[in-house]
Amino acid sequence: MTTTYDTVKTALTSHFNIPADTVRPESTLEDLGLDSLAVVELLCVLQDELGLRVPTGDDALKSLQLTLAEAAAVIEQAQAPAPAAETLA
Amino acid sequence: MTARDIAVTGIGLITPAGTDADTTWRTVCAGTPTAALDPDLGDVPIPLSCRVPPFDGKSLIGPQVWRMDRFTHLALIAAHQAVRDAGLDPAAWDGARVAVVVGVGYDSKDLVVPAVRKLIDGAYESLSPLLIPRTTTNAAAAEICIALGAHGPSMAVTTACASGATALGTARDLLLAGRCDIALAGGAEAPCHPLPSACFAQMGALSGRLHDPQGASRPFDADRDGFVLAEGAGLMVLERAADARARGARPRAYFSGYGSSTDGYHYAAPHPDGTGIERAFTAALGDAGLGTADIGHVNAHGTGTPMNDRIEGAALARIFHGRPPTVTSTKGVTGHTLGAAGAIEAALAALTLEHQTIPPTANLDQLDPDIALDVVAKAPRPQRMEAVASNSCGFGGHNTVLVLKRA
Repeated sequence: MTTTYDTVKTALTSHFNIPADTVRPESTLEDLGLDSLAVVELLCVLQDELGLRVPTGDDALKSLQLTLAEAAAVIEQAQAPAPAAETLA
Repeated sequence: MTARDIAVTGIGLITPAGTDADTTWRTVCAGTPTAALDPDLGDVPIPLSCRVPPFDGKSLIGPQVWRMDRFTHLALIAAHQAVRDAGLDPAAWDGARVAVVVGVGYDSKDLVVPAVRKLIDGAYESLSPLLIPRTTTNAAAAEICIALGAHGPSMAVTTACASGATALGTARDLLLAGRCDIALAGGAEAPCHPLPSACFAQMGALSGRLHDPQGASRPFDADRDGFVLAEGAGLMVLERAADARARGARPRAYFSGYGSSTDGYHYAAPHPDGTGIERAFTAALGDAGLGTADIGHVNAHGTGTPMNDRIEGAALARIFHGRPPTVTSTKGVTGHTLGAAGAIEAALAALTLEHQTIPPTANLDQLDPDIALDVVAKAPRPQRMEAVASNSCGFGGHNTVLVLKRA
């Protein structure tokens, strides 16, 4: 898995005290015991403590049914530098 | 034992003097001060505090420890201890009949600095969504109810530095009114944070004894110059005495009287004549059906501020007609745990009755000549006592007196 996935896993184990052996790419956020507020907290921790750029406005990221692999992929995309704005011809 | 006696069947304490009741009692009896320079307070003017010794919150509370502020950690640990001490099994009790009342004096500041920084930066979407539910004063009571399956009345009670005592009194009222069968009550506070430290310093309330941190908290001493900020929690299991006896529980003491009053005078300073303290004493003794001659000892509020100790000393001398019983202030050891203090001291008063021994007031080298009290100093004093009182006062003029009897 990607480094972004590893970072998300680190947040889940170190901040939320979720046992590492239960954190798998196919686990949903709900499987891990997170509720809707805890998911927003997770996004904050990824920004504050782990320095990731997180698209907090992306509601898909706040679904409890999202798997960790899917969440990591969305966050991964946000790490890429923003594409240059198209210039008007 | 009377119908209005409430049995104290369990005690939980986590204080600067120890992470459980036995250790706290031993440290308080040894008169060992816990005040120290606190590097975590940063460069505030008076970086002194009394901290709870290190503990493993994750193993004592569980993995959900992340969602709570420190005052809730302390409250939960004390609550678990108290329930265990009472021999109660939360998995088996009728949770609908269990009340939880936790006194907290000050809303928690654990997350305030980073949150305000984000606010100033307009970083609204990185603010923790848990900031409100974990910092409001009710958070400790709520988490105790979740952890223990308590589904009766629950609340935070807040009367500044009398909060823990007022919470116990409120729990007594709930039990006597039949609104619950078991009450878990007390106080919790974790104020060792730069903001309250700096603001109490601005009020002139803190001891500035930076050259002698161990000697900074010195209630009733001629050289006292303020209190030392401290953290801690004290929770007790309370039951109607007949109920406790019916289930074969051994009361550690009876909580027999509660009196509460308000100065209605000043937002921070106590009334100079201590009339509010006197009214609370009169009410508590009336509630207990006792007279001043029945009280063998007073665990005083005794913060170590020049004003508190002078006014409280004069009030006690007057209330007890010039012959006050032996007095101690355990804040010489623990510092001032604000909203938790009244509950920690009520627990220590219960242990004082159980052990028939009064802990000394730490750092009391020379009694203030203007204070006409017999303050226990230097060493614990064995004494026969049938009833004791614990006094608490809070900014805003809140006064609470609790009367406990020997079991």
